[in-house]
Amino acid sequence: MMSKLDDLFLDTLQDALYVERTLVKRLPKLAAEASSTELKDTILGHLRETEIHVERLETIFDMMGKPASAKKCEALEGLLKETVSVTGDIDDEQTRDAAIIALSQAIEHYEIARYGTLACWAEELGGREIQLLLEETLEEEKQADQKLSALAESSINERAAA
Amino acid sequence: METTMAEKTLHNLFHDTLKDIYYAERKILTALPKMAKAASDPKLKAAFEKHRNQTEGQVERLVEVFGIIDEKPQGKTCPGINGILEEGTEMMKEFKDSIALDSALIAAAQAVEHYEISRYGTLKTWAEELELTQAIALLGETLDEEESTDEALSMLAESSINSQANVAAE
Repeated sequence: MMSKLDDLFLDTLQDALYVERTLVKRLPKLAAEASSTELKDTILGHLRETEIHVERLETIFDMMGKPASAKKCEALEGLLKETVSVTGDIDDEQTRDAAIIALSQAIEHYEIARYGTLACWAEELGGREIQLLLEETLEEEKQADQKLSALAESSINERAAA
Repeated sequence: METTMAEKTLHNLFHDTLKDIYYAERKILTALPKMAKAASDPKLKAAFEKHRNQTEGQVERLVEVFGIIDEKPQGKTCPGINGILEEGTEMMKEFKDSIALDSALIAAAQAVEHYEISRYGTLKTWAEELELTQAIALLGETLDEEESTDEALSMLAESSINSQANVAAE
């Protein structure tokens, strides 16, 4: 019989797959809305990473002998709704970039929470290989968040306030 | 001319995000007692209760920040936090009678914490750019509290709770 933590793990994995697949579709649009070249490059760089995150998740499903099926994630949908409503309202390019960074960081933090939880559960469930794959992605999400923080603290906000 | 307009827009964004987090904090205030009630581990119950008290202080700080920018405290529906809380509620329902419920509660709470960490991080950076000195300190205080809460939850997750959830299902 499957343990209940196994069920939770699988549920959350399906949620993460939905998030990553959705972001593969959304990130190019977000990059197109950004004005600063650095921000565009950061988002597109993260798009390539996101494609790898999808593959890693598919590998994990495979290792568990489960189909890689995604489950709609209300949290991400909510965050994306905010992105559309906020960035659409801003004419000033630098300020729009500041808003894009803020919302990208909200998404990164959602992923950091989810991968942190998944890696912790994988450890409990004894799936060492699975845990390592999840930790790799977790590390990349944290780095993406830090890159965005650095961008926010440097030129973009300064220009917005200058 | 152009400079003034740019400044005003970052100010507007700051104000908007402040309304967003004010809405989120008040939602969280109503969610935390339910989470404390649902938790079985006394340490987890205590952690939720402690964070509820902290959240009240955080709401008060936000009221102060509104004051600093001469605005009335006002919330704005925030689809982000609504989605995160909705997901948490679903998880609570799905694992209601399960030994893994505490693990689900921690996961939901950490998603909320990370949302707040990103928001307060952003607001603090913008407050620095806008030179709102008093607001920087207030937002920084809350940011520290949210980060500590997230760490405390990680510790709880890594300790006994998950092992219990895993072992008990045999």
